[in-house]
Amino acid sequence: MQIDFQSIFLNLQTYWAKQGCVILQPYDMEVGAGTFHPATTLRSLGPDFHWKAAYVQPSRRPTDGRYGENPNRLQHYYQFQTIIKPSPANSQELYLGSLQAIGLDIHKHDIRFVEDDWESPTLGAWGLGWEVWCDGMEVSQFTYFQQVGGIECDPVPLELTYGLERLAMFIQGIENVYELDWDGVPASEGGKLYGDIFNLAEKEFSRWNFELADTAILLSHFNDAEAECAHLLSVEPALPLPAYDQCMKASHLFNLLDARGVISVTERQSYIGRVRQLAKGCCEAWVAKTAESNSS
Amino acid sequence: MSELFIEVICEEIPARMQKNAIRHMAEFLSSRLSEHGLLDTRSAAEIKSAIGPKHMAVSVSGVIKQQDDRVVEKRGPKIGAPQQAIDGFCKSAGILESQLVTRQTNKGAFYFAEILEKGRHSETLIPELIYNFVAEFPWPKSQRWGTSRLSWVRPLHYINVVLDGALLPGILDLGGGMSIEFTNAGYGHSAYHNTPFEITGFEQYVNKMRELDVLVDLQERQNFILKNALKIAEQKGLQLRQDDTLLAEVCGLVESPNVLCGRIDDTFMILPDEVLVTSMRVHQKYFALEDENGKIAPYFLLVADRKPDTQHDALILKGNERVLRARLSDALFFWNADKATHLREYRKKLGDITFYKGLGQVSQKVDRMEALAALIARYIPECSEVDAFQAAGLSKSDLVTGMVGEFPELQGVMGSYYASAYDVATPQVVAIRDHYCPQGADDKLPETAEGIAVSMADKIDTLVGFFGINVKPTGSKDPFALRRAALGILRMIDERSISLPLDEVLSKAAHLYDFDSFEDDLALFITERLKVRLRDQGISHDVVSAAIIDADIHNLQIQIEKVKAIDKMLDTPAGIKLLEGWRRASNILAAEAKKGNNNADLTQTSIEVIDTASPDVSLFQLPAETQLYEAALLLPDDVGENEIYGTIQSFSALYEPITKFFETVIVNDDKPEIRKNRLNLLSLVCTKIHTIADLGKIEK
Repeated sequence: MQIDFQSIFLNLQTYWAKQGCVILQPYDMEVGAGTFHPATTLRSLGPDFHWKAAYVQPSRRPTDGRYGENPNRLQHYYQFQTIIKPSPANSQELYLGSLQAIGLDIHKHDIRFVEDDWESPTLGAWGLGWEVWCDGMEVSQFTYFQQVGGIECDPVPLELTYGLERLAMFIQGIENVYELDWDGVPASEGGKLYGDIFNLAEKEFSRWNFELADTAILLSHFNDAEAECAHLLSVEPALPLPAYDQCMKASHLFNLLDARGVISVTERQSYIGRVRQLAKGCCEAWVAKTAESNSS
Repeated sequence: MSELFIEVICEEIPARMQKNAIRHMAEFLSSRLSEHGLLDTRSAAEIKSAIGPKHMAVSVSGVIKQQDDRVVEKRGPKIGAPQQAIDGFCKSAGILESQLVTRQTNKGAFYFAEILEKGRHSETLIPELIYNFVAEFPWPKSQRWGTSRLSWVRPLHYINVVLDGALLPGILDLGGGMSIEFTNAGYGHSAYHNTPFEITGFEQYVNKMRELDVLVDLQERQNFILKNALKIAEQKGLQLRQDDTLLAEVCGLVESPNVLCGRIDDTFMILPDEVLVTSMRVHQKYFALEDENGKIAPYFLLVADRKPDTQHDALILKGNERVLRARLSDALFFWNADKATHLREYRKKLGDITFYKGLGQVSQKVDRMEALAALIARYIPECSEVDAFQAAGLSKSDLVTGMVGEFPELQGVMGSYYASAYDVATPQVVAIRDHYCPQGADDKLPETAEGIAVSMADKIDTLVGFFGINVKPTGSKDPFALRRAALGILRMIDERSISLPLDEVLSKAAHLYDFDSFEDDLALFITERLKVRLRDQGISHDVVSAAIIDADIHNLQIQIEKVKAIDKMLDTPAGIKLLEGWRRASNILAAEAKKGNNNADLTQTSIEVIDTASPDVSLFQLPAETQLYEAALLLPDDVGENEIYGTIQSFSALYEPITKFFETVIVNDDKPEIRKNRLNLLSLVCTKIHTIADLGKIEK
């Protein structure tokens, strides 16, 4: 079965909606991964005992840009993210069901769960799990969260992250991301390929990310976001949600500075530490605040 | 005989952990059963085990259903204690006063209660034991899931417990409202089967699992994979590139192994073998095939976890070939891009990489290595100083290339390829390739003299640097592999017989860092590593401590030869007699020192001269005194640098005059000056012998 790119995430949405997930839309900020969405980061910690959500999240990795010339690497790509708390007993079965839903017959393909422990130093988060291989291709990340923002997750959430382009390339059997059939409509009728939509963006953003972004401005934005985040955490009562927006902003600004090559190896650690401090602060404030409103 | 069978079913266990996990499970269960008295002691229990990605199973034979009853003795109050105490004791022990027995102890007579303890039933004990097994399991990393309080390597789903062919009921409480009820339901390969079968014992389980497409035994999977891989290689007229680590890992990733052979596109065959192999192994866990010359052939072997099926196999292969193409395209891109620039240019970028906080940048390390390699080259026969210097200068450049960024394990190797692309002289190319060797006790040494020089320069610079900022190995912690670096230096000195003034080289290395000098600790650390190495080579620890001078690193090759010569000498009759003579002499001197007649403390193993005065020849009374004196004077005052074996031999010849001396001479002469003179003679002899070793440390 040939399945177009948009049908993959539409089918995933439908599948996970049937499993009782809230279907959200992407968070309206630049982030490096679907994990940053507050629906994952903050909701992993509180206030609900049950939390099930699924959404597409555009993810930006400035250093992965290749000016639209590499068939596998992009500075902007899509992740599909599912978060289920507490992790259900049939987590793996549900996941394999989602592969079936997008046309991957798990009886015909070689599906493997290969150890890959996940850690996000900027979020102060870690979990155990696997990368999932389908015929040698990594198609998802499967993680049982243990800590977020330095706080123990209780109950434990299951996080599934699908790299949508990779998955689509596998399903469509093509080797160049720009040739992905986006909509299933023939070109003669105005159908679009991935490249029609994103190739120019890859070229332009690569140029900006690597060559043109004004590092002095980025740096001052980083400092501003950091200060604003701290401020929002210090007011009474603290405002963890807007504060966390500033934390995401700081994290992305750090990635841009990194792509511009102005952060040395030693500085890198200290920047990551600064973002982690913000993330921890937001998570702590979120947990404190939601615990309060739950008890009142 | 009852067989207890336990199987734990969980989500995929990381491959690297499986071997230890199953060993622990077998040991834990058998030892706890035995501690609880649940194993028949008349014959040794037979323990069987099997592990796959999702299954861990152990069976223990000779399990008994109930512990033996036993009488437990409890001491009560003293005879004559107040009635109240006696009543209280009887109540707590649950017996009548008439049932008390009296027994004499070394603290007096006491009342005792003899309580019959009914042996507990395995049905109650085994669930407890399983709880402890789960709660105490030493996984390198473990996790909680759902609301569980207990953790396991990955979520735990079923526990099958079968005693004597039947389910042993029980529940494992995971905490947080979660629990697992014991079952006796086995599951085959999840891609093909989802109805459970009833487990009755280990043999039946393994066979049934095989029928249901799971080879649950690790060794069986390994044999299967190897056999099929070799078969495919043979069909292609090729050989399998042996990789035991990869084989072990792959065995931990599949339940139903199916070895398939894919093609590597010809476009990629221009890549170096090391790149092809590493790219396939690290990212994809594929095996490589090679031709009769050891050159990598354009095929790879993958081990799928699916039953053979012509149609599906073709699909799986197609997918894997596509992934490999993407991987190798990346590698080819790096290869071409990296080669566009000379290693000299990359060297300039090394200023961007920190070697270690407080030790500057890698670029500075390279500058220091150049100077050190040139200095070391002077001491290595037939080593070109120029090549060593230049190779050191280029040795770290590949760290900033794309390929090494992707595959750090190719450091050195890539540098040598990129060097040869620019007509760098062959000795330098080889030295760049080899300079990380040896990486431990079994790794090969650099092939060439220049390779040795650069490797030593690198390791010496690292040791002096880290010791200089007080970062030293402690206990089992050695994050910068300083012990391995020291061992590497020692192996090169020893196995290539290099006569290197290591102290001077370390001083030079320290100056290059702008340290005043190298740390004393470092010299001691090096001689300590030398001792470890010599002991590992089978020389006994006392000989090693007797002959090695701590922290003396001026010429380690001499120290090594000396130890080996002394070890041999002490095995000869002459050596044994020499040791006897030395002991007699040093005992006499020690006794003398104790009397306070002399300043020197000879009870210490370090020998000092009993009197600064040498023996007076005119006071000798007997020929044995003269002979010993003359023999001692003939001996050298140091071991020297050549003919060490001969020198040590010449010392052992001293056994004859010493033996004769003690046979014919009595030290305690009536005349004090003669007595003193004889003590001085013995002191001279001991001092001489101390030139080669501190025999006081010899234990035999």
